[in-house]
Amino acid sequence: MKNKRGQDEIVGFIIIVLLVSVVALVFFGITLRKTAPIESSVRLENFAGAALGVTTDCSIKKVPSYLDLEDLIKECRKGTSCYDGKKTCELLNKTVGELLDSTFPINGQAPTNYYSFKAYYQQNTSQGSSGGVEFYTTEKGKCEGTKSGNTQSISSLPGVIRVETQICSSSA
Amino acid sequence: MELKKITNKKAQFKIQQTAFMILGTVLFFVLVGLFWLTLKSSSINKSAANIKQEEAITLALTIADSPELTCGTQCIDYDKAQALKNTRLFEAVWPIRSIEIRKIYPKIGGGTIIECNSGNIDSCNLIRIENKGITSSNGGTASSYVKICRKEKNAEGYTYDKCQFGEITIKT
Repeated sequence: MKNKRGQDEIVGFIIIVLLVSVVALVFFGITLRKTAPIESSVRLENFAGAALGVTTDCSIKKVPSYLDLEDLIKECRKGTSCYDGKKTCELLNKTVGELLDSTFPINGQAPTNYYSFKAYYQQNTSQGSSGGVEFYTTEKGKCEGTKSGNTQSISSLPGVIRVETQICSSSA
Repeated sequence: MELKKITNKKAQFKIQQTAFMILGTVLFFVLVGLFWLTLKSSSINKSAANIKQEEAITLALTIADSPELTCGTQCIDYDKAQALKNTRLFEAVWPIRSIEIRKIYPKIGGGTIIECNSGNIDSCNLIRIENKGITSSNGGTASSYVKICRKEKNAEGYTYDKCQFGEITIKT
């Protein structure tokens, strides 16, 4: 009788240990499965700061006053065309693609394996800013490893344009 | 006598059970602590790498933003850089081994390094300013993305500011 009680206690103890282990495993599993947060990158902030000032081939007026990348993004949101007839969004796509390809080449040798460039507009209202409307996006590669990003703001009254750059690198 | 023996055995079993329970609990918390420490140390490592990168960028930008080179924030005047290369003025100003300004976009030369001189502005991709007074190196480098600007004339003869995307690297 006493022996049986001892055995029962051991079985109970094992069940508790098993339960705790299962709960711990589930907890760690969920924690590790969560998508890694995008790290804020000083390098990308530095990149965006210089890149937005690059002169493009687009001029809206006849007398050449070539737009920089920042202004080209603003014009793309408005859906305008350059003086030579090219669509601003098409030129933006070409410029951003070449710029990112030159800076963060994805060729299997460089650490970067993915990049994305997104621009979205947020309207400022009396209740604060509303959710953004994405009007331009480009991406290349498949993200593996650490993802880092940066968001720059461009004033475009009555709202603001947010330019988001992200890259993934296999070595952090 | 028999009863005392049974009671003793039961007490021993209870002690053993408590000891196992304590051991299990301690082991569990040790594992959790180790897991937390690993996460914490990896985030500290990332912060340290970010700070190091920020320092390198700041150092490079300090040189880029000096009156001898700058044309604004994160902006290098191409003509000033060329002039500085010829005057050897910087040898007296900064105790650094060399400054390299590399054009990244638009891509020129397809990976070949073509050093800039007065005759190949549009077909070169590197301005190298060396301090001939410093021969030893401590191997330190710092770099930052910048825009490289200069005055340019278009086909109709209008002058405008043309900014390209590049990187300044300081070697000490």
